[in-house]
Amino acid sequence: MNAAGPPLEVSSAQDGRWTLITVSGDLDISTVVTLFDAVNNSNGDVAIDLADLRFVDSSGLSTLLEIRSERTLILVTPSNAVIKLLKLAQLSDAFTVGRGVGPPYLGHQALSSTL
Amino acid sequence: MNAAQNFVEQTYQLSNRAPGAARRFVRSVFAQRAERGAAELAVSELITNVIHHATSTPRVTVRVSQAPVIRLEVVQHPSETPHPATPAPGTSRSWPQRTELTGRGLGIVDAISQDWGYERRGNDLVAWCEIPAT
Repeated sequence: MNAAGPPLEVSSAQDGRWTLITVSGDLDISTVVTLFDAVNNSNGDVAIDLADLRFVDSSGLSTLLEIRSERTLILVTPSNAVIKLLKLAQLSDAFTVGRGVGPPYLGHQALSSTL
Repeated sequence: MNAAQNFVEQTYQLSNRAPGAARRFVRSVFAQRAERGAAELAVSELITNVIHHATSTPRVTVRVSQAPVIRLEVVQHPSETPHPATPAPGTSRSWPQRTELTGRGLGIVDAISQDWGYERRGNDLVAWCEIPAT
């Protein structure tokens, strides 16, 4: 914690078989556990809204890969920080990425085709 | 290393909070520069790598220089008596231990940097990278 507030804020909402987890802030070694706990406390398929994720590094990326290995996962409206990291890690095709506002969150086309 | 490099630096206790603290420092140094995001990511990866691998490093110093090249250094200060890596506060059992995590972190450093590496400086081990100006 610091004067600027929590480094990562996480909220969850159930929508049918989907859980939409919205994160904002910084996802790093000190905060991945918060996201992981939110996923572990959810049921069904997981959509993570990453529009307001200001920062993410390899710790966050590993956690997203871990989640993907256990659950159906869609990354929704990833921020520039997320898109850049996926490119740097050469993992742009590793995730299903969507722009939709509701289940199944894909929008008209998967964003991964444009990464 | 070029002697003309002018560094600013901050020292941190090695914990899971060190990467975030170092990013704030780098963000302030690079406030007006386009390379800020890359510098933040690089320092975060370098310190996280120390957290995963160092066995006797209670403190790290982050050194940043903007000219003539953008250079980041993470200096590992060894303790006099080696001790196990400090378990980071906030770490829980659900933290996914992935052996490939570290390699991915340095791969990201490699992708960001025009050059990077390690060097000995007295008793210290220095991880450094240089980021191309945009």
